[in-house]
Amino acid sequence: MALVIENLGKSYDELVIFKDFDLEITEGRITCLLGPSGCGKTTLLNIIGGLLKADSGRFLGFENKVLSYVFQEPRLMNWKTVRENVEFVLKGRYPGPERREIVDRYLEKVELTDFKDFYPKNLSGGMKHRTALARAFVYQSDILIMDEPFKGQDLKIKLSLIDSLLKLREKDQRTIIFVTHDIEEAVFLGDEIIVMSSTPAKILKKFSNDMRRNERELIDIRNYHIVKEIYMMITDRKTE
Amino acid sequence: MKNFTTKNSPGPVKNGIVMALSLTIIILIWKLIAMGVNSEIILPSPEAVFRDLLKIGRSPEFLPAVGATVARAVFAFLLAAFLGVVTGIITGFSKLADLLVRPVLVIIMSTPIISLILLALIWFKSGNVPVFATFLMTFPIITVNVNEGVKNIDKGLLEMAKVYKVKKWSILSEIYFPSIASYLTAAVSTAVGLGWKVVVTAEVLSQPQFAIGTNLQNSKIYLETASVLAWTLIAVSLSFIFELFIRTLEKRLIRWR
Repeated sequence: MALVIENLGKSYDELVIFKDFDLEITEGRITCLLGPSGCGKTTLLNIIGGLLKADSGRFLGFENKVLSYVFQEPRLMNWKTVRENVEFVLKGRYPGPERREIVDRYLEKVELTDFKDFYPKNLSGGMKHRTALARAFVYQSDILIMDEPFKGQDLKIKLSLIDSLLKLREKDQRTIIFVTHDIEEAVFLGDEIIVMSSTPAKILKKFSNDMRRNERELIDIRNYHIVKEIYMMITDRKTE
Repeated sequence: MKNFTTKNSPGPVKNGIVMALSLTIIILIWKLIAMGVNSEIILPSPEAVFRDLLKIGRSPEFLPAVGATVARAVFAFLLAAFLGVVTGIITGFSKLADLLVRPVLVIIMSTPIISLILLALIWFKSGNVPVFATFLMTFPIITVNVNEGVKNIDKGLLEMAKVYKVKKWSILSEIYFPSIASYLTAAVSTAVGLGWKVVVTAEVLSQPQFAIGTNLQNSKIYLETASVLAWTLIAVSLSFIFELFIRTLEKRLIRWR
């Protein structure tokens, strides 16, 4: 099954971000969107997430799909503890004790059990992002949208966040649409990697990574050719 | 759970000692000046004032006067806080409401307190004048702050709540209200400080039967300066207690800070 966007159009005054843009996303896989800054990746996510309206376009397969979203910033409420922040998205869906039990299970997966009663001001940057990840997974969505969730994190924290993401996804093969600037991150995480051009955005190429997840490495010489090809495309260099 | 404390903050005992020292110095200076002036009418000595304070404390008019003043202040604050929060939220959400209300607030805020009290004297019964004046002085402070609070809500949190399809009531009670709370507590703290002074001033002019202000005015008429200062000390102490109460409430409300 695929999620299909056809003839997407979106402009801001004179600036055309999308014109007749088509995209196909395979369900149950991680699709990474790569592209230069300002090419409309976040706009696309916001349109899919219902935060922005498209000027035109057809969306097939998105009907009745439940979404969750991991933003660039963790977007936590400073007045709520880790547990309450995660619980917030389940309000009205489960009774209190059951809700807390579910939340605690997810907090354990992201190794925040000991910090569940902490307020965000007492958490490190990585912990805040892990809280946001737990919040996205605790919410039973069909599609998880992730907008450069690890941006600006140092390598060690990034690896721990990726670890948490993969752990959360182990028994939960939901579709993930993941936007990033980081080519290695995209090739490592993505089952499909879509490279976009600058505005008006087009798809330059779609790669598939069929390597099994437990065999992948973030820095992997076996993927060097893909990484190089994407690098050439994004930086507008000619391949030899 | 780990505790997070700042190492440099002095302990409460040390703070208390420093504050007691400051008070002692003020009383000493007061005593010296009073000795120099040597006139109980111009500046009575601290012991004369404390004597009067004890006398007032034991007198039958003390409790009704303090009770009535506190009741007027509390009623005016609560009314201003309630209507201020409601108006602040409405004007925060609606540009039209904001444009309609803003000039009224500006007029009230720039009107001298004494003009408001004099007008209130013409319009209301004496006991209601302090309530009206205090309400008018504190309502705009609360409204403007709550309005700012609504406008400065983190849009990112609202987007997050929208994506996760959180119910409107939860968004209001769990995002809007806590965001506004820090603006509100700051406003209430300022409003209480100002409002307390307005209540007593209005009482001096409107002379209700039971009031700290009325007693202040009577003491002045009979040139009982020690009594004027004793009633002033009572008013200051009450203001201090109010402030302490607000601080405690603030700490409870925004303990996540």
